[in-house]
Amino acid sequence: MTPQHEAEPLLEARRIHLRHRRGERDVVRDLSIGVRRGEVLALVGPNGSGKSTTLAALGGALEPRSGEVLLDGAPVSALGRRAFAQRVARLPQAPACPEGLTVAELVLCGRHPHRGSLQTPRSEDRQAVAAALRGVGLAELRHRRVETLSGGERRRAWIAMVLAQRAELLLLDEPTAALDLRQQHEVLDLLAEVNHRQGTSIVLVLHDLEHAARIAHRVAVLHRGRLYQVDSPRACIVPDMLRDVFGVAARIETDAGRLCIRVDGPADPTRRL
Amino acid sequence: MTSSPGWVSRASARLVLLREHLDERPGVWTGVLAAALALAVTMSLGVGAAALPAADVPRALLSDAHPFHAVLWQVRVPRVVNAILVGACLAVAGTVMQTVVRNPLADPSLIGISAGAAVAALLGIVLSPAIALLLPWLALLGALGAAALVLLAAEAGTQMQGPLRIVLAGVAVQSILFACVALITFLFADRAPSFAGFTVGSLAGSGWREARIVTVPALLGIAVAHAAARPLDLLLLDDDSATGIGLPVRGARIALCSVAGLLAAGAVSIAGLVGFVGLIVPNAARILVGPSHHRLLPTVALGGAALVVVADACARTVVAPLELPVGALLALVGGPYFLVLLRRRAA
Repeated sequence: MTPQHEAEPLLEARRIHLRHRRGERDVVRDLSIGVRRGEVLALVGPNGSGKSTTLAALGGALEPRSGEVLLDGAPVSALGRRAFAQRVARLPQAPACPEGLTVAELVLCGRHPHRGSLQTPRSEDRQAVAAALRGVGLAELRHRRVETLSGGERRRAWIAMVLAQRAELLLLDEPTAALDLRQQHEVLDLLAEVNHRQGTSIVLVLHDLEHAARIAHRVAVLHRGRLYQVDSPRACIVPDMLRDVFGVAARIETDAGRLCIRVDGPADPTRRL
Repeated sequence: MTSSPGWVSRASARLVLLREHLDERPGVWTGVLAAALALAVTMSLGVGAAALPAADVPRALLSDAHPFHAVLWQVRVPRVVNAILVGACLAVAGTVMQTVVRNPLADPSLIGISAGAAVAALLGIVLSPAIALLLPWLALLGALGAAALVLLAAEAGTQMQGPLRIVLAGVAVQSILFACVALITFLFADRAPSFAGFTVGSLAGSGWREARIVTVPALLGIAVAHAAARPLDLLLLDDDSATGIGLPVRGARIALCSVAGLLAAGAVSIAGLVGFVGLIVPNAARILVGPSHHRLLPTVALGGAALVVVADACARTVVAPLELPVGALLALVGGPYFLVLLRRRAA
């Protein structure tokens, strides 16, 4: 599905300023960004540039100090948590591991926004759970306890929980963290497929710019709490940006249609970041 | 866990297998525990100053010609009902608290909630004997006050309350409230129950009066906890994830703390400060049925009731005709179990 570029953004942050709960300065300043229906938007930037904080604000987990977050033009703060969760799912960066819960039980938690409070799981809940588990390749391990899984399996279990939520927008904080090379590619392929087949919009924080170039329709580059640029991967990921934002001298090459970054070294060895 | 002897890890591996087997039949443990409770009740009705063989208990209950009929209905039945109420309330309250603060060592009798209920209940007893019917609700106010104090103390300076902060704040609030209990029982020694009896917890002398006033709040609390099984499950995840799935975490915490407070207040109104039930039972039950609350809550309610019924039967018989406070017996079992838990968590 091609993203509808002209349409109103599905989820939009307008001039938000963000501060951590016990923080003393704004981590994100005057940031405006919108997610279009059906698009994959990658948030990239060096550590501490405000990517995860921005994602948390988009997911309603962090109240902006000023500015607002709008879902379909309506303020998110006015929506109930449940109503919001029916439409937007979020994968936190490092969720704590619940003790004793099985993988299937964890993934079933993702169905909460769609179930009545006293309802036992319906067949559509079970189908969503089974499909999500198959998608991340954990169907065999569904009766294992989450804390007995390896780091990569655990990450995939959480991704399955988010997928089982069947939201129209997924906010994923480093979905490929803790995964090995093959699993990284499998997860990215899975997300691309979910986007393509179901039209699910996805915002994801990524450290790997080549991954971002591969999966994203647009890339938003964050630098020191501000939006440096948002554009197509080819327009964003250029030597100038890599020098300014990441502080590296690098060349961009294209290999069989895929964007590759060759880092030669620090942009300015005498200057510290 | 590496330091555990081989048979422990073998046994726990077998338990995990058993759990997986029972996963498809979650009702099994409820049935087993209901049977155990029925057995414990029958035994408990038989023991006392004059023993009655367990096989005769049903006949004695039903036929008013039986010599034990009056004793059973006036003394032993209400006492067993009270034991069931205390056990179920404490076990469910412990389960809820442990999930809410995400700490398997949390127990209303550990973090000041029971102590808050105790202070309010004692004040009620001391100030006006006419207040009896309101006692559990008064105790609920005390429990809620203590819970609010704990949450506020844990929250001071930050927006969020972390699990560990709640436990630490609870210990501080608890010590203050215990001092209040000591002062009230000392200053009003003529009207208040004895400090020792009240703080250890005992069912001695409890009858239909206690059962009548506590049944409604106890059943209400247990029913609400069961209805809240899913929010409780979501609280097993971290706050960030639970929020993301659509749970208003802060509101859920406060509401569930109140439910735990109501249950703790019910137990305190009958038996004073009985400890360790809310700690032993939920942790043992999690090993049997896992942490998912729609299975866990019925299991702990039945298990807690059975434990206190058995402990009370023992308390009445081991040094008969004298009677031990049931809280002391439970602490004798619960203390070492607490140490085992600490050891397992440290490993």
